[in-house]
Parts: sequence; structure tokens; C-alpha cells
Amino acid sequence: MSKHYQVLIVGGGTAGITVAAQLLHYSKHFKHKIAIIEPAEEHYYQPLWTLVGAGVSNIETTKRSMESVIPEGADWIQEEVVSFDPTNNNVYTKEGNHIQYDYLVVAAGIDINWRAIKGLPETLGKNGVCSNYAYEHATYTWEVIRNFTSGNAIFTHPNSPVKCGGAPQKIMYLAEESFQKTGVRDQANVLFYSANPAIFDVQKYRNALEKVIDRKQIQPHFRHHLIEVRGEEKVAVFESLETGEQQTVSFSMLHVTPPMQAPSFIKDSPIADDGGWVNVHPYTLQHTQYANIFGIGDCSNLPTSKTGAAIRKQAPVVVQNIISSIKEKPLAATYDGYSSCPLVTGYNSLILAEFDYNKNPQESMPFNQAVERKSMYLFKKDFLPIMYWDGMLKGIM
Amino acid sequence: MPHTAIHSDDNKDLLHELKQPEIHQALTGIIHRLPEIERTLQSLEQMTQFSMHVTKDQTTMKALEERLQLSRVDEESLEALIALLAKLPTILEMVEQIEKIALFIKHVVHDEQSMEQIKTSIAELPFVQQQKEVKDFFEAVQTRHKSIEQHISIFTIIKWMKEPHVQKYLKYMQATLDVLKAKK
Ligand SMILES: Cc1cc2nc3c(=O)[nH]c(=O)nc-3n(C[C@H](O)[C@H](O)[C@H](O)COP(=O)(O)OP(=O)(O)OC[C@H]3O[C@@H](n4cnc5c(N)ncnc54)[C@H](O)[C@@H]3O)c2cc1C
Repeated sequence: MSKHYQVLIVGGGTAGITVAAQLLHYSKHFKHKIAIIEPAEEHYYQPLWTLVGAGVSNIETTKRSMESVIPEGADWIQEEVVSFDPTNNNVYTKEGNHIQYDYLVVAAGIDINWRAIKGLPETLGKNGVCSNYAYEHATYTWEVIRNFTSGNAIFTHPNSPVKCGGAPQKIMYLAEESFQKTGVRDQANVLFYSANPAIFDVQKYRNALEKVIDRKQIQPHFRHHLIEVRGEEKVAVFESLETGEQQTVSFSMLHVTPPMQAPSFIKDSPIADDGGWVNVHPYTLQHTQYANIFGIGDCSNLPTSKTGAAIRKQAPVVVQNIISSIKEKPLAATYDGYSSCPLVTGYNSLILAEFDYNKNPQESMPFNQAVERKSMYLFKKDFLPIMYWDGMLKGIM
Repeated sequence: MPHTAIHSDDNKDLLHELKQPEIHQALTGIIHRLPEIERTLQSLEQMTQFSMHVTKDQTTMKALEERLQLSRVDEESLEALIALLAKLPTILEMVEQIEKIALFIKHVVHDEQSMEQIKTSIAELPFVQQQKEVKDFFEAVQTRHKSIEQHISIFTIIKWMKEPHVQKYLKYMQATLDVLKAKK
């Protein structure tokens, strides 16, 4: 069976839904001329998983049915894309169908590779091994933190691009504060093993976070990544990225940020760059080879931090540039690499990092955002989810 | 003569062009629409003639001028209109923002899950909690007051005065009186 749409969107996550909603908000003309191909039944607000892991948000509030978020006027094709034929403007699905398009938006997110760490899939969700990087596991993180009494509490950051570069450390700051509250902090060693060379790569926020680490007496181990977990023994194996030397560390709690990669159906397609990501122009988000294809969000090769906040700034650029293409006008909208990371540093404090391609701070609040603030914490916990469901996904924010 | 040669060449080209099917088709179309075109030209001519008559007719022009003077549209209004036109893109942007805010509020209000979330969040806000503490305190006092049967004597009041809380407030009162005295 073959269908044709003016705009076809692959992926009904943050980016796909936002683009569809913004196009429909722009003009009624797009009604039923847009389709979203998305196999999943549910849509998730992933940024809240950090606070679920910290015991302050309910996991149920992070999930809504896909049907409820597909914008009115967009058709939902509940199938899984397996390949692209950009020369003939076609995408093929696992269900054996192909769909034709005038314009294609690729928004399929990032793949999590639990298997890249030996022993991890077998022990995740038990033996004190947890991760906020999946809906099914985030609640176990809180169970581990809540029941922690003594020993090493280890937090990891992998040697790969990740979605939300701040999430691996946010949960660590929250856990540390929780240990203080329950009176077990003195019996705990909080260790951060990160493949990165520093705590954050924007200097202004790095300075602020280094102070947080000092204050909380967290021991950082940079340029190290997790390669194996022996759950029963409660032992984690790390490798130095500089010397290749391996180090075995025991743990009572291990929070894993898993390695991530470009989705394989994109990696093996003609629209990918050498790293497997959708190859787009960093400013216009148009594909470097196929003018009627645009890439957005975690699956694109944009050299910036992969976050929902970045997508909020990318979506209007994709939308405007598709409209310009339809009107046969030059692409005028540009993206400056804006990304943001609300770095939760405790139960009532947050540093709102906002920056661009040049790693220059690009702050939107009228105060110094490198200072830890309670107002910003409440903003993340209470306001951002509402802004997401009722503003961003409706195409108006 | 070279001149004539060019002309005959031109004619040949013209004939060739006329033989082209699309030109032929276009010409047929124009011929079919000639009555309509004529009517349009006639009404255009009538309108031009009418305008000419009006501008020549001094009485009508004077009346029009007077009307304009009486109306509230003056030079200032026209200038304002032009200025407004220039600002239209900014105004449009603002209206769009307002529309977005209004839509956002509408979506929130209709979103049961978000409304539930707002209620929970508000209950957790520090000042709401403080208010709740105050409310709880007064409720507790209210209940206690009803259960006190003991007679309050001067000795009970003297006993109160030894209470650290009472002492604290009495000190505040003393300090206030001192400051007021000093101000006089
Ligand atoms: C723990 C955690 C904390 C985070 N914290 C923050 C934060 O504080 N702030 C912030 O801005 N961001 C944060 N993020 C990141 C943010 O959630 C992501 O960057 C964002 O959701 C990416 O959107 P996306 O549309 O690119 O991908 P996704 O939202 O992941 O959506 C991709 C969609 O594509 C679909 N798909 C996949 N394969 C196919 C296929 N073959 N065919 C069709 N469809 C397919 C998937 O089913 C999915 O629905 C966090 C993420 C996590 C996990």
C-alpha cells in the first residue's frame, strides 16, 4: 500500500510532535497533509525521570498515550520505519508499506545501547544497579537511594553522545542530599566516573559545578567509562580512556547512564553521516544532500547538547524552512545551536545552563543563572512539564 | 533591398509563431473572450470619465472637502494610520504572542492531568505550607481553648510571664516602646 503526504515526520517524540503541531498552527492548509510515523503507543516527558529517580515526581505523570499528543489534523501511521529511499521520496516500514512525501522530517531520537556494557542488561533493576534513562527503571533509582545505608554510591557518564548531558550528574547531587537527610552521608562515598574531561564543557557553569562537587565532597574520576557490571558481586569495572587501564570498584549503588548511538535504521541509510546521524546543515537543519529532508532533535548530527530545550529552538527553524521551500523562497530561518540543561544540584536548587554552538552562555532569565536557585528548581519541577504538554506539544511554545 | 528582406524574414517568423499550437490556442481563447474584454474596457472608461467629471464639478468637490473637514479624519489621523501601518508587523507579532498565551491557558485549563499537577504543586509551595501551618496552629488553639476548664487567676498570669515565648514577646514590646519613646 502506498500513501502520499506533503510533510512526513518520522518519530512522534518531542521533536516530531512539536514540528507537526507548529505546522498545523501555522496554517490549516496542512490538515491531513501531514503524517507522523510512530510505532509506540506512549509518549514520554523524559526530563522528569530525574526527579522520579529522586522520589519527588510520579512516574505516571511522565507518560501519555500517543493518541492524545498527536495534533489534530495530523495522521498517525502506527508503523516502524526501516529504510529510506531519498531519491524517490519514499520511506519503507517494517509492516511492508511505503509512504511518499514532498518533505521529510526525521525525528527518531537516539538509541540506548544497554548491551554495550557487559553484564548490565542482566542486573539492571536489581542489586542496586539503576538508571533514570528508561521509564521502567527510573522508580528503582529512588528505591535504591531511599534504602542506601553505606558504601560506594557510583554515578556514570558514558563515552558516547547522550541525551541531556546533565542528567548523569543531576541524580548524583540529589542522591547526595538525600543521604544527608537520612543521616547516612558520613557512611557514603559518592563517586562520579565520567568519560568527559571535566564536569561541564561551558566554562561558566563548569566553575559553578566544581564548587558544588567540592561542597558535596564528591570524588570525580574523569576520562573513565564503565565497561562491565558484575551485579551479584556488586562490582563495577571501569576503563581509563587515556591509558586503557582497568579498575574494579565495589558499590552499594550504581546509577548507570548507558552508551547511546544513532538509530540503526538511520545509520544504515543514505541520509546518515559517517557517525550514523542524520546529516543536516547546522544552521538551516536541511539535509546536506537532499533538499526536501530536514533533521531535528537527538537523531541529528547537530554539534550541540541533545535536549528537549534545544528542540524547542530547532522546531521553528525546521517549520519556517519547510514553509519557505514550499513557497520557493530561500531558507531564512537559522538555528544558533541553543541548548539548555537545568542542572538540579539539590532538592531545592538548580543552575539553569543555557548556551549556543560556541559554548557561550545564552541566558534567558534576568539574573545570573550560574547561581543555584530554588525558583529555578520549582520552575523545572512544576512549570516545565505543563509548558511541555500544553505549550510545546501544541505548537505554541 | 536588405530592409525588405528583414521584413519578409520577420513575417516568416510571425507566421511560424502563429502556427504553434499553444499560440493558436491562446489566440482562440482571447477571441472568445473579446466581448468580456470589451465590457471591462468600457466600464474602465466610464469610471475614468466619472472621476474626471467629479473633479471638474466644483460643487461636489467643495461638499466633499467640507465633509472631510467635518469628519474626524484629519492629517494627524492619516499620519497615525501610516505610522500604524508601519508598526503592523510588530503588532502582529504581539497579537500572535497574546494568542499563544491565551491558547496555552486554554490547553492547560482543559488538560485534567496538568490541572491536577498544578493543584499538587501549589500545595507544596513554601508559603502555602506556611499558611497551612498557621491554620493548623489556630485550629489546635481553638480546640484546646474549648477544653480548658481551669479558672484564670492573677497567679496563672504571673506563671505565664515566666514562659520563654511570652518573655520573648514582652521583650519585643519593651523594645518597641523604647524606640517609640526615642522617636518622640
Ligand atoms: C533521564 C533524562 C533526563 C533528561 N533531562 C532533560 C532536561 O532536563 N531538559 C531537556 O531539555 N531534555 C532532557 N532530556 C532529553 C530529552 O528528553 C530529549 O532530548 C528529547 O526527548 C529528544 O526528543 P526527540 O524527539 O529527538 O526523541 P524522542 O523524544 O526520544 O522521540 C523519538 C521518537 O521516535 C520514535 N522512533 C524510533 N525509531 C523509530 C522508527 N524506526 N520509526 C518511527 N519512529 C521511531 C520513538 O518511538 C520515539 O517516540 C532528558 C532525557 C532523559 C532520558
